[in-house]
Amino acid sequence: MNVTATLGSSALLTALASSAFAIVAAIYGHRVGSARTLIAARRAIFATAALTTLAVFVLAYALLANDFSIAHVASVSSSDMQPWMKWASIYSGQPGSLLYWTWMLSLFLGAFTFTTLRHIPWGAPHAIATMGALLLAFLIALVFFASPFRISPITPLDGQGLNPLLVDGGMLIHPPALLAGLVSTAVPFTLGAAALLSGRLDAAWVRHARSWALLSFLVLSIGNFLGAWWAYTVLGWGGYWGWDPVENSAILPLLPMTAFLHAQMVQERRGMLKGWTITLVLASFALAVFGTFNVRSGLVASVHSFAESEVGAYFLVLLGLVVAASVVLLVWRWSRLQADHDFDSFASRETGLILNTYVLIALTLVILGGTLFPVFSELIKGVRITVGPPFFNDVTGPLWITLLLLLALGTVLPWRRASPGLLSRRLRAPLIALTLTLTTLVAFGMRDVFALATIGAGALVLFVTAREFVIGARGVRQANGHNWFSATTSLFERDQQRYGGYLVHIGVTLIAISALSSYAFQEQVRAVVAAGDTFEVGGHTIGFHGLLERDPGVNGISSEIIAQITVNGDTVLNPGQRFFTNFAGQPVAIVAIDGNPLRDVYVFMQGWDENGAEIQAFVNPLMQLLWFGGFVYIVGGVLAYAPARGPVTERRTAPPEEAQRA
Amino acid sequence: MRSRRKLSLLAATFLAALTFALVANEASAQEPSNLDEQALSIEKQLLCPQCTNERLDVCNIAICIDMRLAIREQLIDGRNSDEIIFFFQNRYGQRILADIPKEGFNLVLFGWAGASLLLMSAGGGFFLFRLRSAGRAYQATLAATDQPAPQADDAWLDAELGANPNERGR
Repeated sequence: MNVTATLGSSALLTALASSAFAIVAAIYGHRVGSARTLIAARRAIFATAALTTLAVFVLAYALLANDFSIAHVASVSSSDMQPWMKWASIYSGQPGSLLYWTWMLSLFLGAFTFTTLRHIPWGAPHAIATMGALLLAFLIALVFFASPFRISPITPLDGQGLNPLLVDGGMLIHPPALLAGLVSTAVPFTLGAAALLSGRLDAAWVRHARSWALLSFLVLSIGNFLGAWWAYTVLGWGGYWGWDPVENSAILPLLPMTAFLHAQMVQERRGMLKGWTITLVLASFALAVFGTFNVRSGLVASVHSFAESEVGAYFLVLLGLVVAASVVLLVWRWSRLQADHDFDSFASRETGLILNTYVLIALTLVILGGTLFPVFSELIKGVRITVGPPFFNDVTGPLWITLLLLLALGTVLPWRRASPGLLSRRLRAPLIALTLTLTTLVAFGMRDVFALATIGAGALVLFVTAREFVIGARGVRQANGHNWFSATTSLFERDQQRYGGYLVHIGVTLIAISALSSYAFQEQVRAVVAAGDTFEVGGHTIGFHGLLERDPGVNGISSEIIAQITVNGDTVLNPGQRFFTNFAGQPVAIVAIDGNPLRDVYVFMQGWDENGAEIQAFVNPLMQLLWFGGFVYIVGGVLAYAPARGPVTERRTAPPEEAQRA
Repeated sequence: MRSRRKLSLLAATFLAALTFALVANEASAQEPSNLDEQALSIEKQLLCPQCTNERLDVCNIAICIDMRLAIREQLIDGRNSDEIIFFFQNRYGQRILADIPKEGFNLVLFGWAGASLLLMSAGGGFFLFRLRSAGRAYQATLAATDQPAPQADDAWLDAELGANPNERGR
């Protein structure tokens, strides 16, 4: 008997029983009004989290101990792997990633139970039952379809090692962050489901969901940024976002979650969008499950590999259940989700926010359609048709620009209504800035309409947001005599949600400008060169000076071929290719980048022989702006996350019917 | 003072636009002229037949290396890019085209995208109009009961600026 595997399996099986108990106890405790039973149900959620944590530690031990009798350990690690790289082995492969998913789910739900559940007595039993059901669903998949503790019939002498693409430092944080982001959507979902089940559909659930949704938004965003960084620095194709089905699965839940964060402001202040906000959190979680199903079921590769995957069919059923349950709950409670109709004027911030959420959902639908179309074409026509980046760029491009314009509009417009005079005063300077920007760009030869529209919209957002900071800081200076810097920073103390949100908008705009530059103005040259040869790319001279071979001897790497490259005669770069002992047909590119704030010179080696090498070089304008924009975006999100200190704005309430009749 | 700050912001906008224009101009794309550039231009329009969404020009598996060689040979033989892309489409099917053709069954995808945009535009518009008409009736009821208007979210700022929010030009 393998004690490690038995301990891990037992932990998962007990966690499964614990989650099932949480459901039963929550329902029974609620029905009979037993506080003790509800406390037991609550503790069962903690127990499930503890048991899945134990299972992860057991797997980590098996990986570190090179216990290759466990099939998962043999398939994703080898004895020459550095111990810290084995962290990546935990979540690679289907059983490992499902265990990590379930572990994160249990931790998020445990944290939610610990911090928030006591504040929602109206929906605690419903929330516990929902959490129990979610944990149970994933533990069933883990225990019965994809156990990471399955014993292999034959114990190999050594493991196969990690997938070559995962042998990178970035892999230690990108997949965990992304998976955690996907999982985190379960908390707002739980709150939404509890609100629907309990019938308590006022702003109470939204207040609690906001901070959890913002956390989810942040973790998902960090996961996506790290993914882009990893794709850029490891995959070796000169870009960072290729509209791959896996990438699409990662961004899909982020869009409705972003929409929710905007819609909840309207609901909290104006009592509108009650049905819409709850639909958005339900959709976000359903898309997170879809993403997991899409990647884990083999559907990305082909319908045939999906058909062979047991867990694929299970996830399809699970996804169907999540969607069906969400729709049934919404239909059941729809009459209680009617808005207060406290809407004054189209010329208001509410309009910008509402339209913003519709654009985000249009983006979601388009990306979802493009991601699923290869599957439909294979099912219906028998041929898998690929939907490449041009489709996504062409269709989503105008929507991203519209989103930027709405960001600017939403910032300019006040809540409730803007009089024509106020509207004119607030729009005058931004429109002058826009005209100035477009005139400058056209005067210097830019004719690309898409580029002009993106930069113009970006300039609008940056101008109106900077103006908000200037006006706010001026107010603080007048009141307190602070200098400009401390006046600006004090704005975050006064209204963290608002000014943090503005920083996120600035980050998004910088990302959009960088994405446009690196997409529309990228230069690419491929050259076959001998030692001593040079070639030109985007005004830079790339020199090739020969090849080196080295043998790192760790992480399954058999050898590395390294090119000696110089950029403009001085900066030395070492792109190359890395080969793996157990993955002979899967060499991985080693990318080398010479970057400055204006451009990246990005080089990788495509091939070589005794006469020289085939080198690809790209010049990507303003690439560092993308990472800086990402940093600003995350900082803004973190600042917005802190609870607002100011008093809550009171909404008008509808007068009682007697008063209306009087 | 206020107009000077506005001018500063506008000047900053101008400088940012100027910088962007110069960077973009330096990197402005050119038409492919030699064999290498023509081959690269064609490769960027094709995908690896065995991978998921990987462009031919950056793919390193054997079949992609062979396809790149075939593209160069066909260019040397005098074929143009349309003919070469058609050749590979015939051999591997539409799945190797980076840009999905707007024809046949693919129109379902474009129809979906169009319907999504239409649904969200019409839905958003309809929702706003419905809110507006319902809001008018609601406000009339509020006015009849003399309820005070709520504070704006930036009331603290208006108080410190000593300004009426509706008069504060920005």
